Formats: sequence, structure tokens, C-alpha cells
Amino acid sequence: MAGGAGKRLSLLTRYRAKPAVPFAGKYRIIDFTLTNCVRSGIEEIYVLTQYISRSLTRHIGIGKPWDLDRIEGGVSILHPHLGYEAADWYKSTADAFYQNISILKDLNCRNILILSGDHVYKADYREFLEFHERSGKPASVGVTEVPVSSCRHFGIATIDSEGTIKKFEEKPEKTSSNLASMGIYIFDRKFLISLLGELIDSCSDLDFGKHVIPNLTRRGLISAFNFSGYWLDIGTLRSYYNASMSLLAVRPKFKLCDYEAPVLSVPDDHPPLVVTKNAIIKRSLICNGCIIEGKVRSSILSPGVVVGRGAEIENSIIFHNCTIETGARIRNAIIDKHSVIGCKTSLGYGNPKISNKLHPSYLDFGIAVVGRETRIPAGIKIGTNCLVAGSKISRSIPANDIDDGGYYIAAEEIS
Amino acid sequence: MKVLAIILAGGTGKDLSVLTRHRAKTAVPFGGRYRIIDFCLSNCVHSGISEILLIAQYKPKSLLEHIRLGKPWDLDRKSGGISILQPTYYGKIAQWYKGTSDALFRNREAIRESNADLILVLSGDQVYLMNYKKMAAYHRDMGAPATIAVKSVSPSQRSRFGMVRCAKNGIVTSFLEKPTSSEYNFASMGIYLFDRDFLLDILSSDKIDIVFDIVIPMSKRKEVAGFKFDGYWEDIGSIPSYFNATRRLLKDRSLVTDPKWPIFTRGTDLPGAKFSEISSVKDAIVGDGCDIRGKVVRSIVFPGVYIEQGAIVEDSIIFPFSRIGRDARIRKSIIDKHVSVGSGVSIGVTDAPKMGYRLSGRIEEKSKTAGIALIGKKSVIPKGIDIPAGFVIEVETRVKRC
Repeated sequence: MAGGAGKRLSLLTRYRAKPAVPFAGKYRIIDFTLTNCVRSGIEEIYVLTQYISRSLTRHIGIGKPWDLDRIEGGVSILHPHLGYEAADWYKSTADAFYQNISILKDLNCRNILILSGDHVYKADYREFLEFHERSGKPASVGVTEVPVSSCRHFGIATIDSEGTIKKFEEKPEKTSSNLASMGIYIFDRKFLISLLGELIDSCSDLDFGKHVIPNLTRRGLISAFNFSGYWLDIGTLRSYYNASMSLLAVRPKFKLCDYEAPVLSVPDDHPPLVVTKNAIIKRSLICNGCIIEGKVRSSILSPGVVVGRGAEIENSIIFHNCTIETGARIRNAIIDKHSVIGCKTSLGYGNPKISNKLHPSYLDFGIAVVGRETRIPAGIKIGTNCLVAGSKISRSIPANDIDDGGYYIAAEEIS
Repeated sequence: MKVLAIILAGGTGKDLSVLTRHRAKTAVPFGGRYRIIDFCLSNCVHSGISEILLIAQYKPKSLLEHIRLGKPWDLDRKSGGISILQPTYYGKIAQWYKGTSDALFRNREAIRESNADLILVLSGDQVYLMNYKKMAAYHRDMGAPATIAVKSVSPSQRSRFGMVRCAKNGIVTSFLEKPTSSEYNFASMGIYLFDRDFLLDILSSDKIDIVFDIVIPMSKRKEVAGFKFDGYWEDIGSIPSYFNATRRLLKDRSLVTDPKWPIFTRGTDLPGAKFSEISSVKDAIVGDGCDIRGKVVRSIVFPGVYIEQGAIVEDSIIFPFSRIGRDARIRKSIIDKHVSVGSGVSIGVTDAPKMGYRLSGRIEEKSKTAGIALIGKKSVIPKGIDIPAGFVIEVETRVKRC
């Protein structure tokens, strides 16, 4: 499911669907799920999308990088369409399924695996499938242990000794379990079709997490499969940032570099990374096409990033083809694609206790976020917890300092 | 004018020593990401040539796995695209290609079926950027049945190449292999353009080599025009020239960074390179998936290389997936793929083997390797061993003290 708006990723999902957000330098979030499917022997995949899906659609294409360019099956992207009785924009996760029910009916398979496309993890879904078949229930959901303090961000399941879910709470303030739903479900296909038919009329915004799972829990029809592998939730700016930084550990828990089973993605044509004689690189992940003339520490650079002489970058994530000009200083920032940070400008230094004025709940932990294709002028100072974005037409922002917690988002497009 | 390109990738390239022990010269890794053949393939595609015959014979496995259907170079086409032509058993005759002209003659059916107007013959083992359209336009203007690309070289280089003299009108008046006379300033680049029908007529079973049996006789009959090329061009004919061409990239990246002329290759599926807190990398090119924890200076490191803590790599080239152990010291060396260098090993640092043991390898003549140590693919150097400058370790060798 790749339809959600991902508001909590702020500027990163301003012009793209959440699964299309770059991650770990050269990947997009959906690459992890697609790769898992392929390694699990799943060769028929439907991607349901609706929110600004162009980046995602173009990235997936006909599925060749994941070997999903097939005569039968392969990957298909399902946008909302008109022409059938219930046709409309997808109002919710379950509604997206209901509107594509004719496809569900035509399939030959016994089970449907539903994935959320916005988590980063490695899994062989066959283990989950075997569990589901043994459970004897028509539905299963993948769960994983999360820290108790994070429970209020997730759907939390309480299970019995056989794995049947006894209680399911959406984003509870207090709970006795710490098993969070990963948004991965397996349904018996025919059961799913009739279930959707049953429930759709009672709920205008039928949602898997809010309605479907609780309904099945009450009826004792759903089990929980415990994933023990390492997974990264990247649903909020804070979790996205922390997940990214965790990749830089000496022995990261999530093994990104796997020669035997690498993460598959669209090939990139950049020349290899160039490190000049003035460069200083420490504890960083840097992709092809980058040219490093300055200092980079504890950062992730996507392909094509140019770091000028005397520039300093620390604890930051810089997406494709950005240019950091001479002498610029950047700390604790996420900079979206094709942006330019002008000479000697400073970005991200400041007091992290001052939350962002526009989105105080998303941006309160001390990073600065720069939207795509933004030109930041030379010699200015932008603090921390700032949001900065130029408009699509005029990329530049005014040459004024921005205080901690401040923002400049091009006038016509404040969301 | 439709052009069919034929890339001659059949040769043995002995001059590249262990680097071509198990692979064709055209498949030798280059520049931290590429293989040598990527340059002429990319040149073809950017020049609008999408029909290519690749003639292969010697150890083609690496080359074939690299090329496959040609998708990275946009050559996976319904019409045209790239075809690999290895020698076949034809009727009662089963023979290897005897030489460059013989290879063309044996594939004359493919040439005939192509409907091309011009046949561009390339050697595939040179590093250069060229728009072949310009050569084709010159060929058409000159009206001769053949055109060869030539490049002015310094006198000291003359003994390496076939050299030509051209008249003012551009026609080649003389072609000599490795002449000593100073009247010859232009080197033949091994790039030939023929009118298709003319070529089909002139090919025959008794002609073996393109230069000796076709181009030189034609030039005597004034049937060859010389197209002058003045860009960078390196014929990777020896270890020193390979080494220098690679090192040049550290100073001048324009060969691989021209946005209008990108060099396509089959990439890896690895993530970006990882640099640890204690790593120190300067003046280097580093491929995807590397794990760098030591020091790298003035070197080219291909994808998937692991350089452990304390290791120092200087003025060297390390091919994919090799591993340089803790505190190892590598200097002025080329280390092939999947090599394991143990901790504390030194390669290329000392001048002569340490007293007390012999190594299972050899010193190559300086003229051949210019003092560059070579470690063949999949070899293993156990810890503490010292390999002196210019030493050559064969492929798949477990080095022993003896």
C-alpha cells in the first residue's frame, strides 16, 4: 500500500509519496519491500497508490530492477480509476482494496499479503505465510517488539499463548503489551473479499488498523506473527532521521551492505565517488557521483552530491545531486534533492529546544529540513528545527537569516 | 547513413599479465567502476549506433556476463542491439579466428544481413570518447572506400603503434607498423570505417589481419583516408599504460563525468561506500559498497573492497571485492578481484624479498610492469608476508614462504 500522504515526514513528502522517499543514500523506501517480495519468491505484486505518485511510478516502472518484468504477474501499479460502480479516490487503506475488488476476485492465489511499503526491514515472507497457514485463522498480522515509550505511535496487539490476538489498540497511551503492528497482513483471499463487502457500508473511511483489525480481534479471527528481525520505522521525521543515522554505526543492526542479497533498486549511472586531497570523511555513507572537497562527518550522501572546498557537513542526510558550496556549514540537517546551499551559509546550528513554529509536533528534536530544489543564498544563517523550501518556479529563498524554529516555505504552497 | 559497429574483442592481451589471465582485455576493470569495453560501447550508443557485433574468442566469460543483453548501454533492442559472435563450427570446418580480418570474413553473413551502409571496426580495448558520426561524415566527404582514425603522438610513442603519413588532402600515403622514421607523426588508432559492399568484396579466406592484409595494401593504392582525432586516447596495451591511464583519472575526471557523454556500465547493487571514524581517504576514487577503515591515498578502489583498520593503500588500484587486512601496506600495486591480503602484509613497499624465504611468484621485467606489483585474481596472501615492488603473483595462488 503506497497511498498515504505521510504528513509527518513534512517537506520530504511534499512532492512525492512516502514510499518514494529516498533512504540510505541511493534507495527509496519501497525498494526494501519490493526486494523482500522478490527474495520471498513472490512475483505478483500490486502497488496501490494515489498521493503524488509520479516519483514512485517512475521509480518502479515495469519492475525490471526487482526482476518483476514478467509475462505473468510482475508488478502493477493501481491508481484510483473511474468506470466501475464504486470508483472514486481511495478514501482509506481498506477502501483502496475494496475499489480493486475485481482484481482480488480474479486472482488464483489462496492468500493475499498486504504490505505497507513504508517500513525498512529484511524478511522472508514465507515464514509469515507458513505461520498463517498453521494458525487456522483467516487473517494474520505481523508484529514486532517496540520500546514501551513508542507504543503510543503504533497499533498494539495483545496475544494469547497461541498467537491469537485478544486485544488491539490503536496508538494507546497506556498498554500492557509492546507488540506493534507492522502494517503487514495476510488474509485468506476469499475471506478478505467477503469481509470488505461486509464492512464497507458501515464505515466511510474503513481503515485496516482502525476498523478491520479490531473487528477481527473481537471475533477471534486474527493471529499475530512475531517478526524478530531488525526493522526501522520511518513514519516521522524523527524516526526517519534516527533510522538513517543508525546505519552509520560500526556494526549497524540493520545490515545494509549484503553481497549475497543486496537491496535491489533502479540502477544509477553516476561515475564513482571522488574524494579530493582536501577532503576529510569520517563515519559516513557516501554514494557514487559525489565529489568531496570538504569535511563530511556522520552523514549520508545520496548520489551526485558535491561538497565544496572548506564546506563542513555533520550528522546530516543529503539527497541526490545537491551542491554544498564553498565554506558552507551544515549540521543536523536533511536536505532534499537538487538543492544548493550557498557559500559560507550556516544551516542547522542552534538551540534544539525551540520547536518549529509551523509543525511543532513533527520538528522538535533539533534538525533543519530543506525541501527539494531549494536554493539557499550565500552567507546567511539558518538555525535548527527550521523548515526551508523554495517554490517550484523560483527555487531561491530570500537572503534573510532564519531563527531556530523558523520557516520559509514559498508563499503559494504552505500546507 | 546506417553504421554497423564491429568490436574485435577476441585477442589475448598478454601484455596485461595476470589481469588478462582469465578475462579478455576488453573486460579488464577500469576507473573504479567500469570495464574497458564500456568506453567504445558508450561511444557507439551516443553516436547513434545501436547495432553492434561483438567478436569474442579468448576467455570471454567476464565479458559476456558484463554485457549480456546490453541493457545498461541501451542496446537491448528489438532491431539491432548487440550480438556476440564467437567462432562456430561451420560445416566441416571448426577453427578459431586466425586474426582480425579472418574474424570479419567468417562473419560476413552477419555483415551482409545488417543493411548498414558503413562498417565501423573497433578494437574495444582503448579508453577514449569519440563521436563516430564525425568520422562517418568525414568518410563520406572524402569519398574513399575506407577511413582510419589517426592521432598525432609524440616521437617517443612511435614504436608502439602502426603509424601513418597523410597527404594534405587527407589521403593516407603510407602506413608502417612501428616505424623509426620521424616522418611519421600520426598513430593509427585501430578504428576503421569501410563502405560495407567494398569490405564484403575485399574480405577473403586468405586474409588474416586487418592491418597487414587490408589496410596497408589499400593505403598503397591510396584508397584510405585519415580522420584526425585530437582528444584523449589511451591504448591500454601494457601494465604501465593501464596504470597511468587509471591514475590520470585522479587528476582529470572528464573522461567519466561529461554529462553529455556518460559512460554506461553494468553497475552493482551495492549501497554507497562506508567510511569509518578512523579512516583517512584523500585523492581517491571509491566504488559502491566499500568498507574503508584504513588509509587510502592516490588510489582507485573498486566496489565491495574492504580495507581494514591500520591498512595503508597508496598509489594503487584495488579491484572489486578484495580485502586488505589490518595494518597491511600496499604501494604502487594492482590487486585483482577477490584477493585476500592478510594482516601486516606489505606489497610493493620493499625492493627485494626478505631474507629467509622465497615466494611463489616472480619478478616481472621492469619494462613490462614498470615496478608495479600485480596480484592475480582470487589469490591469498597470508599474514605478515612481504611482497616486493614489481612482484607478480599469479591468479588463484595461495602465497607460501618456501
